[in-house]
Amino acid sequence: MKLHIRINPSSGQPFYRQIADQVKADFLRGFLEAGEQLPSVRELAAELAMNPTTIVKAYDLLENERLIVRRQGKGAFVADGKQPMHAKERAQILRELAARLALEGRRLGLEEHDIEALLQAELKKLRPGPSRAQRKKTKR
Amino acid sequence: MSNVIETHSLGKIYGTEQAVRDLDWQVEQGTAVAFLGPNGAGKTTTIKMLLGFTHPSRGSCEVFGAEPWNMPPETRMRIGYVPDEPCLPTFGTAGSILDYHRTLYPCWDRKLERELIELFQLSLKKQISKLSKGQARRVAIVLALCQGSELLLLDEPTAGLDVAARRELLGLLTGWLADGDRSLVFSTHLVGDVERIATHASFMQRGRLVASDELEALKADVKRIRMTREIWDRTRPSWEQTELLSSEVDEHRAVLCVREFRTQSSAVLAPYASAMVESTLTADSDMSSSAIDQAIDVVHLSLEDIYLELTSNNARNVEPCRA
Repeated sequence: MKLHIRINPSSGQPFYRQIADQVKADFLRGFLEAGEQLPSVRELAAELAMNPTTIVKAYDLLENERLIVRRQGKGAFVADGKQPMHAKERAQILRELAARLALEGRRLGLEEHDIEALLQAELKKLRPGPSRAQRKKTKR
Repeated sequence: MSNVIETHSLGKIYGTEQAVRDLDWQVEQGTAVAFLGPNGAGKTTTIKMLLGFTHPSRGSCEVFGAEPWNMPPETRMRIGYVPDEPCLPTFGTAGSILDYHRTLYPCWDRKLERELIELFQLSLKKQISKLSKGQARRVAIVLALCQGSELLLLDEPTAGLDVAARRELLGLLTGWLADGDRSLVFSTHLVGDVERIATHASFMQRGRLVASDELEALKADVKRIRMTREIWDRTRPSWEQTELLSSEVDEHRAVLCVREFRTQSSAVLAPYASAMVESTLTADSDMSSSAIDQAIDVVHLSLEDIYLELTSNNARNVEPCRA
């Protein structure tokens, strides 16, 4: 199984963190299922052309957060019975993005309610509404 | 951790030119070091001294605790080397070289050899003189890896390889690293290639070592900081506590590239830069820390950006206070 991880060398986040965060996000999005086997350290290191110690560090982090379990000689698996995290935990993943939105907004001289309105508008776009086909029809 | 490479005030003079000056450098066991610098910075000369191909003019160096030119064969066997221009014999086939080398090294890894031949799709029956540059390099890499080396010195190993072959080689090296407490020194100016595989980076420029550290520490230390001219004027003395690599100041803004040192504080560095400035700003005004965050922009750099900052010609000559 491939994880399709993208690494950004100038994000300011260490590589192992970037890997761990993306595995976590994949789990939350339902791309990874409980019990599913993750690539071995060696496989993932080769796939990403990355130092194996970086992969080990990423897996250590995920294991500490109980998202994966490692079985001796068998590899790493998505933890069984790991319930989708609390909303609070999930929000944590977005905190950095939110901080950037807030900071950049203030830097541009936007008021708090302008920034909130921006987010509201984006959320509104995601609200369940008529299907795309229906929307097309009404446009015409 | 023990050091596999140690140099002390190492220097090499060719005629009147100082190729390497006063080099104090260590490579720890189990690390992968990106050895970076522009052409003519002294990387290849350093590697040649570490291999005993040339004697230092000054200072000393040791690999696995032995001087390279007095090294017992058992120690020499632990060092694999791939030169920038692989020097293979001009006669015989790729297969015959492998046969020959296999008899020379008691720790020869036959299994790895088979894997590599398969992976590199080497045609063993081909005459060496007929091999392309990329194929010759692959043969040289197979020789260096299979001899049972614990330290691999690669001089521009990805030069002349296409993108797919480069990626393949890097993937292969990750496997080699995963197999044990092995050390890798990777000299290159293709910085993007080594960023992911390296644990450490050492930069040479004009014969000198300008920086050498863990990659993550280096990335935390070197950063670009942008601010308005007003903030710059008020905080100028604080920035003098960092090493200024470059600066650009005009009437509206200041852009600095600084290298910070954590000796003064154990704090994480992004807040550290603003913390230092924050105390200056809050001391003489009512500026809140959130206002300061808004006024100062910290940009994180990739290894390639750091390389450019550390080895550019204007680095270390800047005098921002007169800007």
